[in-house]
Amino acid sequence: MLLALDLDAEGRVLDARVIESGGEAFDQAILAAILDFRFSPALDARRAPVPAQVQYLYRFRLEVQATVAVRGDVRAGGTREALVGASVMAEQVPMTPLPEGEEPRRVSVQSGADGRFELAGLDPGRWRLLAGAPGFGIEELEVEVTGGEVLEVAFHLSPDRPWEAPEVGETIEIIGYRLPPEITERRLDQDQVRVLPGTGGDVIRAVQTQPGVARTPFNAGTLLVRGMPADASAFYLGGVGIPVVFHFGGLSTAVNGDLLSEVVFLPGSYGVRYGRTMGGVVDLAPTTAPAERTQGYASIDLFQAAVMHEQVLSKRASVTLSLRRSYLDTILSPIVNTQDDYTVRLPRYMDGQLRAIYRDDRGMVVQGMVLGSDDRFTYDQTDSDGDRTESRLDLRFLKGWASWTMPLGRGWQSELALMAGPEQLAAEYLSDEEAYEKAQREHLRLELSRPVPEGGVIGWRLGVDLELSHEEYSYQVEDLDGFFLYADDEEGAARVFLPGVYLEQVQKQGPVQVIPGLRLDWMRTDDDYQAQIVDPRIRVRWEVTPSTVVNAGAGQYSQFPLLREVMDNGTGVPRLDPEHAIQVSVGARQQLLPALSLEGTAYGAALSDLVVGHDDRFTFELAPPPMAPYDTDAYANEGTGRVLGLELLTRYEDPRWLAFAAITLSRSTRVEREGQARTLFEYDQPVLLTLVGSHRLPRGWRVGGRARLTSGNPYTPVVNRIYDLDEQGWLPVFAESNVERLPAWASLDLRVDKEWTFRLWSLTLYLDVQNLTNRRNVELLNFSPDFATEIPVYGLPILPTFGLRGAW
Amino acid sequence: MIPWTLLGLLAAQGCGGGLYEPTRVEGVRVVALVAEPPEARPRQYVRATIWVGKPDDRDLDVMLWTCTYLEDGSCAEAQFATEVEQWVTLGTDVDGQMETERQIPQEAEDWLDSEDEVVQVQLFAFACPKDECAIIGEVEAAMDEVGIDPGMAEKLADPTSWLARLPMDEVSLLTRGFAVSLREPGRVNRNPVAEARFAEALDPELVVAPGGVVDLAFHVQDPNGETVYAYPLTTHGRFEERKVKVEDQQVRLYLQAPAEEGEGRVWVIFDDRDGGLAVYSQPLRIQAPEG
Repeated sequence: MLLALDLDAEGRVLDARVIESGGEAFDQAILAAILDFRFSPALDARRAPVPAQVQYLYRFRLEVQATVAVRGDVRAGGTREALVGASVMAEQVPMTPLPEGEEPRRVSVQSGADGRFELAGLDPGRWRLLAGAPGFGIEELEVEVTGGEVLEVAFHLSPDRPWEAPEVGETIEIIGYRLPPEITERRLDQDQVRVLPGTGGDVIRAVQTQPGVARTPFNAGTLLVRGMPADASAFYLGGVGIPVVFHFGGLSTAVNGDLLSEVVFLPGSYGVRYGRTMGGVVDLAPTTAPAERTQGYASIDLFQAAVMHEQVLSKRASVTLSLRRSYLDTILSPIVNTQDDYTVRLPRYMDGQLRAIYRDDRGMVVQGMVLGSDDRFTYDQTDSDGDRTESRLDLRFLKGWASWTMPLGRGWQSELALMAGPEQLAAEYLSDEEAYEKAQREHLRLELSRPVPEGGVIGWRLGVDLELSHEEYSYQVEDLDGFFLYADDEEGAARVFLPGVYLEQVQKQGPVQVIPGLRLDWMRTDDDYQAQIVDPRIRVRWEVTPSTVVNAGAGQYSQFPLLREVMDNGTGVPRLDPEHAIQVSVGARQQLLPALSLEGTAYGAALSDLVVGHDDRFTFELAPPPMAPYDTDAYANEGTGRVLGLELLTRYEDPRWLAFAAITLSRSTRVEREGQARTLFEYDQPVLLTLVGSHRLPRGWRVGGRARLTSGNPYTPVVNRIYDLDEQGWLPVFAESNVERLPAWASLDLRVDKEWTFRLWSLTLYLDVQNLTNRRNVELLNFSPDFATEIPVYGLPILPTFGLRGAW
Repeated sequence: MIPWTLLGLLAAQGCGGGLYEPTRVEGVRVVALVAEPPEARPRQYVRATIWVGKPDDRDLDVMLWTCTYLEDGSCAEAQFATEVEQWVTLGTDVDGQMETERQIPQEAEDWLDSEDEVVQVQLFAFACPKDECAIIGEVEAAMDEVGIDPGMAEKLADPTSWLARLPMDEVSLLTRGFAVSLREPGRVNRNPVAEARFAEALDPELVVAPGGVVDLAFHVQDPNGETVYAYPLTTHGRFEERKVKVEDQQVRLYLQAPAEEGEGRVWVIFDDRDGGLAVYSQPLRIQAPEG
């Protein structure tokens, strides 16, 4: 029988149609059964999994069944995944020694798609059963076969050389399309991220190793993408915005990466699905299918402990619980607290997610998740009078997330996603000063899409992207003593309404696809602020050959000012407009070998209407604030900028190797105010070089390394100082902005994993050594209080960490 | 996100301070600028005393000027002064000190609508080795001209524009606020009064053995009853604390002398944190006992 199948990106069958009938009874039987089949995902030219339409030939075979004596299943030890095509052999154990030259009787079968096997026609007596599969060791057991009784056995094979295991499923040919991938779209698979050296297995820290992403000092929790500021990057969870993506210090992503199927990183020139941001986009994509088996893990490492359990409720539904807590505060706080007059309670964080997912036979997926995160940092000080004061920083959110995706027929698919709940960032400083930002935010996305149908020329994507929030902020820090001086106390509150709509059309002419799109966004506050954005974008994709793809894109990417900037504390600032970036990029990807690819992207951006001013106002910093002259004038859309860059990425990936080399050359400049000189962007890093390799060895070993070399950040030197007698302190006199550069930054990281596999669970021990050469990298430049001495602040010394992970 | 602001507070508490010694005066430095009285009415005369530390016997050019900042960042003085001398005073230090007397301009009355209103005037004191700073020469030249050159006015309003081109260790600029009001004399702020108590503090010269400790004791009184803090400074050695609160009108400060012999100076600035200042200054000699 010949069938036409619609497969999703994970190889599941969404729809099946009979092309060549095998008779009505067979047709009905196979159409009922085929929905449970699972195929290897189709890969596009960049080896990214994509939905596909395939033709599938199924042959029915009539056999005369002998009596089944033994049945069972063959699974991989530890993960308990069914092994397809494993060999199971039964060898009769003779009661007496066999005459020379006579072989014992043997019966062999192979396991089916679910790992099950049956051995039939075994005579009563003792039999030795052996099971083996490519890449796995051989397991042996003896059974006693008695007539009329079926023995049930289970094999759990220990993975020995797992890369030799064949991929499960049929070879399929891609004959259909979905909406094409973005010009530069990097998908990170969670299984690869987990063993990436130097990242601690964290998904967003893995994104930070991608080309086009500049280093932030101390690997702080932010993304600096293609010369854009940190607040120009946006983070999503399943298509809707997530308030915080990093815990304090960038140690960990605020959502457990094991809930995700992948991380989509779009550094620029992306389609209209994402808006209200000028820079890169990271979309954390939760898994879209219920767990196939009950599984979980518990892990501990230097920073945190985590437990996750995924419970299968039925064939179509599962529920997952994840809890994590850091204990950096418990371990390291005593080391930091060497002085009597203050106590630092180092950052600690905890997060949890509870998710339920249901997927029906037609491909409809409904998910619901409750996710929460709580970060805390405290600092106690005892002053000369013996009075104790505590400073505290809290960052927390509690969100509900829901997603509903459904095939609508005729190739259309709908996606509805919603995130809602409170979020808060609050700081209480010494001397009763405090600052906070609170929001109750709801974000909803409804998207309809239809890929170009087989033989067709037009595809569509249209959607509504709606955000409604009540935001409140207060910065009562004017009298804060110490390192930072803030000009004004501020407070404000408003309801903010951010509706957006977008439409994108895919026009396919042979190997060329042209994808024009338009995105419209509005911002309205109950404080009577209104602004709108019209962002036209176009992308072109040309599949020159099956292994060569050329992309180009151009468009406008805009973002609204912050609420505090448009409210401005009622001081009557002129109305602010959205900030804009015109992005252009041209790229090509060449599949040199099945496992080796090379891609390059040249990009540029012209930034305009950037909001500048009021540097002297308090902000919750995303990165260490630069030591530079303050622009204390009123907010204005006067900033402009230019970005030029080239990214090159070569990647090698086979079952044993994962390796890539990435180099980024870029230049990012700014003109802060009209008439001022052009200066370097504060995180301009002309050269970023990353080399990563990870290699699987026999017996559960894996070794990997990462080498990074980046230019140092620019900085503004202090060339003189003024003594302020009223404050009894020094004021710096700066040179021209960002005329000096910190030394280049380099680091070599190493990771070794060893996995022990048992029948029902596995244990992994890893050692991750960051900065193996103990290089003293200057992350920041501080100054003595009199500004006479530059004090380099160094990054982490050699940092060996280890972790244990037990998975079941 | 990382709590950078809190880490900044930590830095301010001393982490990462390196070899910075907050009570040490090295190179050329304007140590204090005392205005007597510290708050004045228009047309009232004010005596300004500038204390300067210097590493050797070189004479210093000392320049004093004021700036009443307007919203556009310029100085109001540029509008009412007809000659640079009305705005700027130039002189040379004598034993690390310069004194001058200035009259609060009559035009200041226009800025004050009521007795409770206070106008903040910024005072600047700049010191530079004699004939080594172009800005001094430019001001001297401007004094020979009639009127106020706009370029000169801009430089006085924004001294960072020329300070950025001068070597940090060889020049020094200090600034402080000064209150102009119509308040009656009984209601204005007044400078604290400090008297040295111990014999060695009364000596014209403090002498201490290398590695020894000088105990400085003061009786401090603030006419307005405000809390006064003492900020000690020295060219040699170090004081135990940068800032000491005066309690019950008494304060004691301990200077740890260096191990090497030498000659220098000690200052103690008594500050009521409201513009009122008093300065104690004595030469310091670190000398091994004879025999």
